[in-house]
Amino acid sequence: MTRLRRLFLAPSWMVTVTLILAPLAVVLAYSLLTRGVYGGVMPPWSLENYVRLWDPLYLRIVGRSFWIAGASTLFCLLLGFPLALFVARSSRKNLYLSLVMLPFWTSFLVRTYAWMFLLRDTGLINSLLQKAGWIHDPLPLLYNDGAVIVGLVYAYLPFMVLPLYATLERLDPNLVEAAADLGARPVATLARVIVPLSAPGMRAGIVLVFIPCLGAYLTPDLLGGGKSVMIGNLIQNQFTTARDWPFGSALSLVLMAMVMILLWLFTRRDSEGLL
Amino acid sequence: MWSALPRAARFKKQRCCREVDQPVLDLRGVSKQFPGHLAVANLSLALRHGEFFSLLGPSGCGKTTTLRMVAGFEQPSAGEIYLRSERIDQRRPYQRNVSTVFQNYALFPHLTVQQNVEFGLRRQGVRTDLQKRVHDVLELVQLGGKEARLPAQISGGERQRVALARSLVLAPDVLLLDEPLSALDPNLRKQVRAELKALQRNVGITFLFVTHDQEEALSLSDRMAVLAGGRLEQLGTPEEVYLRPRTRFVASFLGSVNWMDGVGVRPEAVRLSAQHPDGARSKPVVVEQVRFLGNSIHIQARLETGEAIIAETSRLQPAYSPGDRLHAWWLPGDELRFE
Repeated sequence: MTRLRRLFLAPSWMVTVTLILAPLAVVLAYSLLTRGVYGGVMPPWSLENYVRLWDPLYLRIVGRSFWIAGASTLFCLLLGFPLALFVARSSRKNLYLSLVMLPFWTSFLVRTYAWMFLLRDTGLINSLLQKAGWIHDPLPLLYNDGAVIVGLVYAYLPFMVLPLYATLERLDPNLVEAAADLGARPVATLARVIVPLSAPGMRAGIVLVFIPCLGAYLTPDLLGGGKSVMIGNLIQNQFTTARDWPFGSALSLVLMAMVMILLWLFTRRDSEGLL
Repeated sequence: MWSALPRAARFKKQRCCREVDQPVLDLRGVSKQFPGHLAVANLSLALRHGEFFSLLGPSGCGKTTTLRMVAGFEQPSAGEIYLRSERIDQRRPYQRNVSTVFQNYALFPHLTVQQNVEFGLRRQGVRTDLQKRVHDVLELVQLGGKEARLPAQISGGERQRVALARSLVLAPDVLLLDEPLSALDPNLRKQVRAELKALQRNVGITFLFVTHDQEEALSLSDRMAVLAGGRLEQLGTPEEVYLRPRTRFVASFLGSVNWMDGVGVRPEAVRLSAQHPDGARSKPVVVEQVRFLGNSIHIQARLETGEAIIAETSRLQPAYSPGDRLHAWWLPGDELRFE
């Protein structure tokens, strides 16, 4: 019996070891080595790359990453909750759910470029506002933290809506009726019953949005335009222009460690909370 | 057992002498049309202060829809609902002084017993004697000591009492109960039934009780309404409805009936004897089967016309066996007749 079990588990073990654990070990080794002259790595071993992280320049980037990821997650929650509630109570759930997932049918890159066309100085929003006579000079909509947050909220909203929808859809409608029956107005029912009972979905949504936002690379690259740099861009930069693989490796591992600590802090309260 | 508690007095509604004659809840020609089917058709009911009133009927008869219209979860398509002479059918559920005990109790799973019971009082802005009122009602339903438990940490019977306490603490004009005993196991159900009746007497609140179980309705109600297909079939005391059913439907829904030449006789009213009885109505029968049910014996016998009838007897009466040729007889007063 156990032999059969081992046999069935073998493929997934092979994938895990060769495609995840082994590369991670390489990354760990790189992070402890010294940068080569033309990229690559060379001896001696050192912890220098981890010490460099404390440079205020890098700490600011880490700080900005947390602020942008946090703000994006908050906006996703504020926008996603009413949407999920609406879909869960609608009689055409499948239609609205497929609309929520519709953006996935197009390349993420193309969709991000579309935001550039909307937000740039000669873009749709600025030219419409100018034609309407409301503004004279174009608003600085692109290449700042705001643009990155807009892009991230747009990209990750479905990851907030789907787990929230899953908990709200399972919410016993009798509980909402019972609250009204006991004298709760709609706002009180929302605050005292619906929101507390959708906490597992919120936790799952926050994790699913915050973590990819923290390591986002493409959105800040295109919509931040080099002015709004996040950890993801810093890592990418180390492996390309800066040719500092060891420091890039150290940054990657630190990002991973931060995510894992956050995840542990967030999910330790209930084991079954995550989806 | 709840009736022994002196604190119950504070849950009693203070009634004005004039209002006693007025119905506490008055449904006038209420209908509910759902897409494709009429759930309730022109229903009129008037509940008296402090009575235990049951809505009895098979599933889909409109009893739960009626309850939901009183609670405010459904809007009547036609008709009016008055609570203490005020029209309420257009009001939101939180604007009506009625309270519902749901079939699945609908306790808030994230709140403790104490917080569940406090919920309604807090929405009303009660602050000063909130603790005392919650404590008293929990004592009344014998849940003292369980305040800090979550609904998942108490038994089904205890959950039902939390649901009752949560509604009773608000002293509603009418307490609406949607099959509150159906989620309990059969042994517990009979015990809780007796407790529920005692509780209702004790607090003096009008109960509107929805059930499909005729035994529950008969044993609990002061008056009851039998519904079928959204229509009122009969309204009356349990004795009236059981002994004087107005329709064949009511007669058969409330218990077994033997149909002989268009006349119905309940099994417990059919008696058997070897000799031809004088004065009573009788039919010759042949015993087919004798079924021992513990507290009673059901004798299945066949008439000359070929129909089978059941006579309910007991082991204290003469025993018969299959093949016996007997006379089945009954008193004219026990016949169920319909127009």
